[in-house]
Amino acid sequence: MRAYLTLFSAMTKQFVRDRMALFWMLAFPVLFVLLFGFVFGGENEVRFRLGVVAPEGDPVAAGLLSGLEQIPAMEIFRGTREEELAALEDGDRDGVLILPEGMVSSLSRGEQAEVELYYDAAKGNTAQILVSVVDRFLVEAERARTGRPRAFVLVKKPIQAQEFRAIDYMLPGVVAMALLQLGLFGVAGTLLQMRERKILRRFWAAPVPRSIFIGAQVSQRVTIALLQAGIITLVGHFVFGVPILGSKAAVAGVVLLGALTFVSLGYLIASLARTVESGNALLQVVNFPMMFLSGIFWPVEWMPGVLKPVIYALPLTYLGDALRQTMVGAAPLFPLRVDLAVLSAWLVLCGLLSVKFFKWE
Amino acid sequence: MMEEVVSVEGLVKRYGDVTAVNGISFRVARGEVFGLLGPNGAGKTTTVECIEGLRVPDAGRIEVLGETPSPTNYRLKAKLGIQLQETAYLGLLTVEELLFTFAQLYPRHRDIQELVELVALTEKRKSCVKNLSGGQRQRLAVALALVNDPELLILDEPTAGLDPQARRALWDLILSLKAEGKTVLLTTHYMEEAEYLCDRVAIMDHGRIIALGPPAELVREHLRETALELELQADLEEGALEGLPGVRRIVREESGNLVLYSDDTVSTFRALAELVAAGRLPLRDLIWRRPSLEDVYLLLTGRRIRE
Repeated sequence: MRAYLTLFSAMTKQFVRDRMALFWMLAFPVLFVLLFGFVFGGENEVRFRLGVVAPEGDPVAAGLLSGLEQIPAMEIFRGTREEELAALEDGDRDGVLILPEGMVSSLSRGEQAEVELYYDAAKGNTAQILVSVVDRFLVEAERARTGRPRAFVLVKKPIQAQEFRAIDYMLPGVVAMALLQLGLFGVAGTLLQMRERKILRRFWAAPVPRSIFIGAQVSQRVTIALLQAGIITLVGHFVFGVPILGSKAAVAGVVLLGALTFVSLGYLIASLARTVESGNALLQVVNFPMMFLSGIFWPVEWMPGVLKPVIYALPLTYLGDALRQTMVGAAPLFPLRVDLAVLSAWLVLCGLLSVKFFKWE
Repeated sequence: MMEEVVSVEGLVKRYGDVTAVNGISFRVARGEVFGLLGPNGAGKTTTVECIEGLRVPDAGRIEVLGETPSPTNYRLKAKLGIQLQETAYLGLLTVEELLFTFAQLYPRHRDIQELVELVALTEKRKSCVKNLSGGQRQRLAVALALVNDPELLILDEPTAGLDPQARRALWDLILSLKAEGKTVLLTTHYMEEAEYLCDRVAIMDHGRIIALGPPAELVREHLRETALELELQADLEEGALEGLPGVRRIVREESGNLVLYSDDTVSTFRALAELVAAGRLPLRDLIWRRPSLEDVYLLLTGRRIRE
């Protein structure tokens, strides 16, 4: 027990004093969440920057303008025609609406008033949504003027209690990524180095069973994993309001199983590689498909069907799915018990192969 | 012989087709400093690693402190102080922390402060291991080997890569440990180190022991001749000196000096003095040299040890 605690503490010191390891294991996932959260937005709504050119002193124009300002998705800028069109060209406006002179008189004569909307057709979806929003606004404005009641009323009935945002999907994925990285680089990378530099050998010269050494390392890394998952989850929850629906115990349980699975995968990689160089190559070969094919950043449905066999073979697919289910209540890819069973199978398999193939020198 | 601490009988260790150690036998007595001497690849490290229980021999019998070494003989490992050739440690721990970590892996340990002082690392005790110089790291390795107050200290090339001053400091440390009554088994490929430190040496070559005994005895046994090195003022044919009493061989060195190997120093001296007096030997200087272990190794293997 004394040997175990001493090794645990020595490995912890070695880990927390390694600034590179700290960055990749703790700071990087948090930065990832922050970056992703700010880019893809806490609020999942579209905002339009609309330039409005309106004649002074026209009550109709003033009425339309105040109506436009009340649309939440609209940010209204006012200026001359030249200024606003130049801003549109520079990409500072999504559209420019030009209200003509003398709308009061033309409307009172029963004539149509032509309202021009300039937009950047290259902006695709944004442009189309903007056009239809503005069009619908004008229809509503006209209906209000004529006082005609609506024939059809749309009643919105969202089926999900909480709107599911990209960041909600992403956060469990980042936790899964962190566990993967810890297993690959924090365990396999460290072991390969300790073996090549004969650090393992020196420990082995002391009267300590290997099981104690391995036990200390595994539990030390798993502790880091729980810490990582906790920090990432808290940042997601408090900065971006990602709801944590599952019980803390269930989430911690899945994180624990995931950490053990990827720590054992790390041991397996260190067992199969002979040198640091071949080990690093192997790590990348394992890392890349896991990062991009296991659906931790985007749904696996988005990926071509030919990749499905690979996707469903990767343990990270199941860890990501299990975490999404327990943390944010996402629609499951597999039932939770299937996820847990596959992860356990990987854990046992990697563990047994490591016991068989691991070399201390 | 006194109480045996190590006894090796017919040790054989192969790596694939290569036989690293080919049936060697030797004993180490309590309190002596025993050296395994030989060039790189002679099988020294393999031998000590079998004694440490880090490798399992293919044949032969080893007994260390009454135990048979094996990878899981923790009782024996607890009694050994081991310094491995070129090893590294958790580099971000301080000297004290690393010593403390290893101390906790053994059933009993020496006082860490005392140990730090013994290896003269007091000023560096709060420094990270990775920031130590080569000599400091080597002294730390010895301190780690001493952490469990071992009965037998096994040092694998303890002074490799050290500057002369650091090497001398480590020699003094080893001799002070010997004075404490420790038994030391060390490997080296420095002949002068073996001559300075070791009570007995075994010279290894190609996995075999080719000579074994106290350094001075080995020299006396294999090289009865004395080397007389003549520095001349003018060139002289070797033939002019052949047939002088006692002279066995004459070698012309690259410097142009002539080296006479004589098994009767006094007669050779007298003959040389007569030649000089008669003006037939243009002698500028004469160096009398006792043959060293290096000469013994050269004689036995036909190779210089540091190739």
